[in-house]
Formats: sequence, C-alpha cells, structure tokens
Amino acid sequence: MILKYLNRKAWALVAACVAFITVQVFLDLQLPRYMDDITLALQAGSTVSEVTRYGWRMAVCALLSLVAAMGAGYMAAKVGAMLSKDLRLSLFDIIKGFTPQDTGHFSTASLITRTTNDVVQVQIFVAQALTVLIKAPIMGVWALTRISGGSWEWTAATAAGMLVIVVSIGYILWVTRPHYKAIPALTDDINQHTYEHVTSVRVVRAYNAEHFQERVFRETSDDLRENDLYIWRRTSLLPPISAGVSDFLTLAIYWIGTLLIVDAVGIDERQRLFSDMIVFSTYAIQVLTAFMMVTNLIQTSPRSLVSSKRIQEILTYGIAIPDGAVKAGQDRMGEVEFRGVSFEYPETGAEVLHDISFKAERGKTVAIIGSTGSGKSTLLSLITRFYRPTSGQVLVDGRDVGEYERAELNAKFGFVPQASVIFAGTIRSNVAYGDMADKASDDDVWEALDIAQASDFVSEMDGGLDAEVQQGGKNLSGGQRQRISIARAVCRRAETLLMDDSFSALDFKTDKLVRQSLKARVKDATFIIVAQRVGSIMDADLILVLDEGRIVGSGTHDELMEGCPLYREIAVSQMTEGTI
Amino acid sequence: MTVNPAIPRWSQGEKSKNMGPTLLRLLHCFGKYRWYIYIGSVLTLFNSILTVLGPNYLSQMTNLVADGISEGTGIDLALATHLALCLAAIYAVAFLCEAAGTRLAWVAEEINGDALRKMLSEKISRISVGTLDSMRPGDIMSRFANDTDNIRSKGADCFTNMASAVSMFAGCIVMMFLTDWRLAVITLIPNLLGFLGIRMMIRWSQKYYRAQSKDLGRMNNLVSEVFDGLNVVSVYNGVDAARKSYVEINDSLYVSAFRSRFVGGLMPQLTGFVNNIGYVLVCIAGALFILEGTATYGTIVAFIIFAKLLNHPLTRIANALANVQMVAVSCERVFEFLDTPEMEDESGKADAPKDVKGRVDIEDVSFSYVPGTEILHGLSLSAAPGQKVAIVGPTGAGKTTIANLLLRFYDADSGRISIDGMDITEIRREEVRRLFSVVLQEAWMLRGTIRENITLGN
Repeated sequence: MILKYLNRKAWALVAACVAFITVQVFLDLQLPRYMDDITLALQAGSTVSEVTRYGWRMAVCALLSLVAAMGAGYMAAKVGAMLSKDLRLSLFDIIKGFTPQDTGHFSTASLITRTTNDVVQVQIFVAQALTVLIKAPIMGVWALTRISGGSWEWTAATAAGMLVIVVSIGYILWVTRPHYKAIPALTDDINQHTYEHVTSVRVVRAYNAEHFQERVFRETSDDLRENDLYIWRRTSLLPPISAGVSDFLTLAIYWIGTLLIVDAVGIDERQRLFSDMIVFSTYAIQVLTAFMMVTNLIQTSPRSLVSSKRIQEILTYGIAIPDGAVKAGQDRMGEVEFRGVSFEYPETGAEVLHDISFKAERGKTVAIIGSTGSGKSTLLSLITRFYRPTSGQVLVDGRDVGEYERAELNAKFGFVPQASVIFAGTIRSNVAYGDMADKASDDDVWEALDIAQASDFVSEMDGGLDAEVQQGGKNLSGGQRQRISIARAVCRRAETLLMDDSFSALDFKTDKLVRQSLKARVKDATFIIVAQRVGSIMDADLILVLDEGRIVGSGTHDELMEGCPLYREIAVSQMTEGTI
Repeated sequence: MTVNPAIPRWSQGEKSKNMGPTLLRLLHCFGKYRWYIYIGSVLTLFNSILTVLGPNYLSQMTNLVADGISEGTGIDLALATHLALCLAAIYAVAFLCEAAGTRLAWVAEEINGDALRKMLSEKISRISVGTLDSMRPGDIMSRFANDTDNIRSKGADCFTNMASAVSMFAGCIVMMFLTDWRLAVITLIPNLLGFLGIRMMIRWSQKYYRAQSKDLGRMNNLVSEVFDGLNVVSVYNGVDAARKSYVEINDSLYVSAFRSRFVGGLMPQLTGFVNNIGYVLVCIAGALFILEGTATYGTIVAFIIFAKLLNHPLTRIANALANVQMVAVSCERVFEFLDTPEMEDESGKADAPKDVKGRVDIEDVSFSYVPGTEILHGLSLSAAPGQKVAIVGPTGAGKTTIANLLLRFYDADSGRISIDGMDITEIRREEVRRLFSVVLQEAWMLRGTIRENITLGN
C-alpha cells in the first residue's frame, strides 16, 4: 500500500490525530449525557443556577470538541501534504534516472500525469480517509455499546439497513470498477491530443487538419464522457439510498417500538420500552452515520486506488539499465571503442546494429554516415548508455560504459541531439547548463557561443546572455536552436563530443564555419559525428558507412570513394544536386 | 526557476474573483441540459420539503404512544398505523425525488464537462500561432483535464445541492417558528453567527486554493520540460539543478496544499461546533422555560431534532460554498482560455480562385514578431508559375518567416503578398493553405498510424 511511504514523523502525526479524534468523539457523546442530567435534575425539582451550571459544562464541552476537531484536521492535512511531497520527490528521483527505454515503457505524458494529478488524488484521499477511518469506528463502536441492551427486533432492523447499504454499494462498485480503471488512460489520451495539437499547431494548420484534430479529440472526449456517464448514472443512486435507509430505519424503530409497547404488560415495562425506543433511534442513526462515512469514502476510493497503483508502478519499477560504480578518475582520454556490438530494441526485438567494431582514438574525428534507419543514432545512444548492447562491448577510456557511475560517464561527453532541446530560461542558462551552471564564466559562455557561430545573433538579442528563451526555444529559429545546442556541448569542455546530425538546420556556410572552429578551437577532443551530408564529414579521420545496421565500409573519404560503392553513391548524389 | 514573462498573467493565479457572473456563464454553457439542472433542483427541493415534514409525523407518533402510556388509555394502533404509512409514503416519494434529481444533475454535469473540453479544443483552432506560442503547453493541458474535471465533479454543489440545502434550511426555520418562536430565535442565533464565520473562512481559504493551483501549474511546466528533454538533462548532469527547482516548487506546493486542505477542512468542524452550541442553548433555555412553566418536554425534544436537521443543510452549504469557489477558479481558467483573442473572423472572405496558376508576389513586405525587432525589411520577390525559387541565407535571416507569412501563420505588418494577383489576406486562411504543400523544418509526428500522419484527415 501507498501508506508505507509515510515516514516516522507522519506516523507520529497520525497517532496525534487518533488522540484528537478520540477526545472529540468522547466530548460529542458527552453532551446528551448532560441533557439526561438536566432532565433528572428538573424532575427532582432543581433551581435555575443548577441548570446554568450544567449549561456552562456543556458549552465548555462543545468548545473543547471544536479544538480537538481542529487539531485532528490539522494533523490529517499535514499527513496528506507530507505524503504527497515525499511521493513526488521519490517519483522524481526515480524518473531522473530513466533512459529512453524506461520513458518509452510509460510514455512522457503519462509520467507527467503520474507525478502531478495522481499524487493530488492520493493526497486528497489520504487526508479524507485518515479522519473518517479513525472517527467512524470509534463513533460506531461507542454508539453500539449503548444500543446493546435493546430488543432484538430493533437490532435486526438496524442490521437490515446496514445490509441494504453494503449490498447496494458493493454492487455499484462491482459494476463500475472496470470503468474506473479506464479513467486514467482516457485522461492520458486527452492530455496527449491536447499536447499534440498545441505543439504541432503549424503542421496542423498548414494542412488544414484542424477538423481532423478536433475530430480525434472529440472522439476521445466522447469516450471519456460515456465511460463517466456509466459510472455516474449508477453511483448517483448512493446518496438517495443512504438518506432513504436512515429515514426508513428511524420509522421502523418507532413502528416496531409502538407494536412492542402495545404488546407489553404493565406501565413500568411500557415506560422503559418508550425511553429505550428514543435512545435506540438516536444511537442507531449514529451507528449508521459512522457506517455511511466509511461507505462514502469507499465510493470515492476506486479512482484514488488507481492513482495510487500508477504511482507505485513507478516507485517499484526497476530501471532497465542499472548504474555502475566506477569513478572516471584521471584517465579521461576521450577514447571510444566498439567491440563486436549488436543491438536489438527490447520492445520490438528487431536487430538494429550488427557486429559493430571500431575505435575512436583521442582527438580524432569519427563520422558515421548512412541512409535513414541504418542505425546511426542508435549507435550514439549506446555510447551515452541510453541503451545497452545485446552483445559485444562499448568501451570508453578502456572501460565498459556499464561500469561507470552515471554522472561520471555523462561528464565525459558533450552531446548534441538530433532535435535541439532548449529550456525555458536565458541563453546563459541554456549554454552553461547542468554541471556547468556554476562553473562557466561569462567569457566561457561567449567563447562557446563564438565557436558555435552563435555569438552574433546572441549579442543582438535583447539582454545578450540574459536574453529570455521560451520553453522549447520557440522564440529562436531552428538553426539558432541548433547552434545553442552545439554551444552547450562545447561549453562543457568534455573530452568526447557526440553530435547526432547536428548541422542539419544550418546552411552550408555556417555548417562549414562551425566545423572549422570546432576543429581549431576544441583541441584534443574526440568527435563522433552522425551526418547525412558527405560535405560535413569529408575531412574526418575515420568514416563508417552504415547500411541496415552493418558497417559496409570504413576509412577516409578518399579510401571510401575508391572502395565503397554505397558511399560513392551517397556522395555523388549529393554532389550532383549542386552541393558545391 | 526563472519566471517567464511570456507566461500569460492568468496562469500566475493572480486575479480578483468575480464569482457570480462566472457561475452564471457556467450555467449558460449547459445549453439545453440547463433544464436537467433546473428540474433536478426542483426535485431536490421537493425532497427537502418532504424531509422537513418527517419529524412532525414522528413526533405525532411519539405523542400518541406517550399519551397512551401516561394516561393509561391504551394506544390507538389504527391511527399509529395510518401515521406510519403516511410517513412511509412521504419517505418513498422523497427517495424517488432525490434519486431522480441527483441523477439528472450528475448527468448534466458530465455532459457539460465534456462540452467544455470540446469548446476548449475547438478554441485552439481559432487562436493565432503567435498567441499559442506564448502559452505553455503544460498550462493548457491542465485547463483541459484538471479544470474541466474540477468543474464536473464539484459543479453539482453550485446548483442542485445549494438549492436543496437552502430550501431545507428555510423549511426548518418555518417549522421551528411554528413550534415555538423563542426557541426558534435561540437556535438560529448560533447558526447565523456560524454562517458568517464560514463565509469569512471561505474568503480566507480562497487565497490558499489559488496558491495551490499556481504551484501545480509551475510543477506541470517544470516536469513536462524536464521529462521531455530527459536525455539532454541527463547527459549534462542537469538533473541536480532540475531537482533543486523541483524541490523548491514541491516545498511551496506542500505549504499551499496543506493550508488549503486545513482551512477547507475547518468548515465542517465549525458547523459541528455551531450545531453543538445550538443543542446546548436549546437544552438550557428549554429547561429554564420548563422551570417557568412555559414549555413542555415535547417542545424540547422537537427542537433537539430541529437543531440536528439544521446542521445538515448548514454543512451542505458550507461544503458547497467551499467547492463553489474552487469551481469558480477553474471556470475562470477555462473561460480565460476561451476568451483569448481570436484570429479575425474570415467567413466573409473569398475562396481561393479555382484555377490557381501559382504566381506568388511578395511586395515590399515588412514584418516583426516582437515590435521593434524587424525581421523582414521591405522584402519583394516574385515567383512565376512553374518556377523553382530557392531562398538562401544564413540561419536567422528570415527564411522560415517568409513561409510563416505565405501560410498566413502571421500576417505582414506592411506590404502585400499575393497569389495570382489576389491579396492572400483577402482569402480565407484555410483556402490559402490549401494551395500549399509544406514540409516544415521539424518533423512532427502525431501519435497514430502512418496513414493518419500522411493524410492528416484530408
């Protein structure tokens, strides 16, 4: 259960909550007793001052009961908030170690909903459940002890009332259960469609696909509505049933009481039954109320339970790639080696890389070229340990990448992904990102921007390094985003730079300038570059030609032009299209 | 986390509330299902009236039995049976009224929630690309899912529950005054004072609820950014910094969630207290009246029941008022999105000409995304039908901007763009776009099949 995530302090608060509620119930049940005392005093011929003395005691009782209730509410709210805070933190700490394989298992949208909405659901439920689950049994049992002396007919009526409630709630929960389970997935869908529409609005509009988007959304929304309607149509019976049962139970107790009194012999017996009847009806309703508090809670529980399950799925999830323990130490050379590496995607089982072996020596440039789908990007993600090879070994600085501690391994790379990732913030916070955030000086940032040919446009921006950047870099052009992304890699001064098709949005002139300044000013670094254009990689020390996951050629540009038909084909097709 | 000035003010959770008009507008959104709400309210009103009549029959039965015992005359069983059957009938009708009323209200709420979602979805298509870019996807998503869900699940409290509680309250007052006006006044005083206290507390809690919404929105934005770019965040060891922002928001959320929950939870406690005080006052005043000889035990018993009955609507009203303000906050967020300025209505504009040859003329066009930073300065160019025109330039030169203008994602500040001599701002947007096939810089994929991605519904 999710409750195991409550820490010690929270359990102490729960204990305090129990104490407060016990006091509160005691005080609440004490009030009618004073009323009895007053009645007895009146019959014994009492005075005004005696009545008012009881009055003061009752008022103090009521006030203390309020204080106790507030105390209990305070504790319950605190426990709920603490639990959700801890859950959110645990979730983040697990998700932060996710690689694409793990993210793919859940989907990003679902991870977002789980850390936000699902936690809120659980928090509300726990705060509610805490007070109800403590208060109801105390109240119910206490009231029951006062009933126990009455006639069995009354007890039977009360039991029948409870049975009606249990059966109806049980039935409704049973039939709606599958529909409750469907809610989170449908909500994920709604989120997904909204997110897609908003983020891809240009494509949607360019193709006049607004109506298509709206239709898809409408269908999902319809599904959610029908699913919900199924639940609400049935659940809407519960409040009237609860009210009806307590109404009819009161009536039944009075009616049974009347019959009992009619049958009874002797005025004393009749008077006893009469007072029993009034007492019984009061306490029976109290038992029923306690009972209904619990059933109301149960009624709201399916959704919270689903949320709690979704949270626990992450908390108990074993990440696909366990972390290693080796620190990088001093031997940071920037050497990357593949030894007979094959890889198939865990989900599909399709082989993407087959028996890849090569070595990128310190300060050298290795380029990987090949048609789309040939496995180029996958090769890079094996170096950063986003995936693990199915067989063979990937070594960095002479060690299997699996042995390194994640942060230590990361620190070896400057990584430029295919699609630029830009964060909301400033130019500075995007370039001096992550572990460089506190280390890089303004000069370092400017130098990185300069190498990435980005200093010109940044200096023209309002605020320079402090110029505001929107989430996803929406206020930058594609080429600008890519250059910021390159500057980020450069700024890190890592010994190996991994560039995944990272010149694609640059014009040829800028592409060339970036490559030249990288070569001249990022000395000693090893470059592993994935590219589409032969022009971008002609001067690499080693070029690997990939085709359907196999290396079909390796060597320098000149050697490959000579000996690798596929490479020549790619090169020629690009030359004739007028690259130069 | 840096505060992004491009976030619209409405997502910062600062705004004065305008609850009445907002709820009226919500009611308006129900469309024809408004009648479900009206009928549901009337049915629950019947239910309240019948419920208030109940104690009267019960006390008649009690009196019948009590008198029978004390006077030793025996009990008129036929009359007792008659009273019990009447009461059973009343309770049965009350049950049916509540069952039907609740169902109608809940169904209407669900259908309205769905309608709101669809209105929001259709709204996206009517907002300009520039305006959409200035909003955060996480925030928009939260309006689509959380806010509509909030309105759906708590909306009933605004209308039907409120109607039934208020009518029950009124019914109790009438019955009380009919029984004994002195005790009625004494019972009402703590209830009215309690009601004022609750009103104050609601105003207090509203502040915390808004703080909580705001923190949740910030959390959504941060989490979506970090999880979306997790590869880069991870490789650059940016996780620690992200975690720091996360912890900061999480702490702030802890405080706001705790406060809103605590203050919100105080209201039922307060009504419980009011109820207890009412009980105490009835007991004391009743006892004193008995000493005076101006009241009977029967009256006190009746008032003890009334004091209990009053608690029910008061708790309901307190809960409803607490929920109403949450609904109002959510409504405002939904309406704010719905009220985002739209692109100019173009239904009166022309279709694209039938036989388009494909001559594109750009004449002296200037454009800036942000006033003061002009991207295109008096650009002119022409493309004749069948011609292949390439636009070359360094990144940031404005190449994409030209495509943005041609597709009318934005309109030029000055100058004229025409196709076959027809100004594109004179043609409806979707008609202009129909004339183009575009391959955009970034490859976007929608979740779905390859066919759906290629046809995009056309």
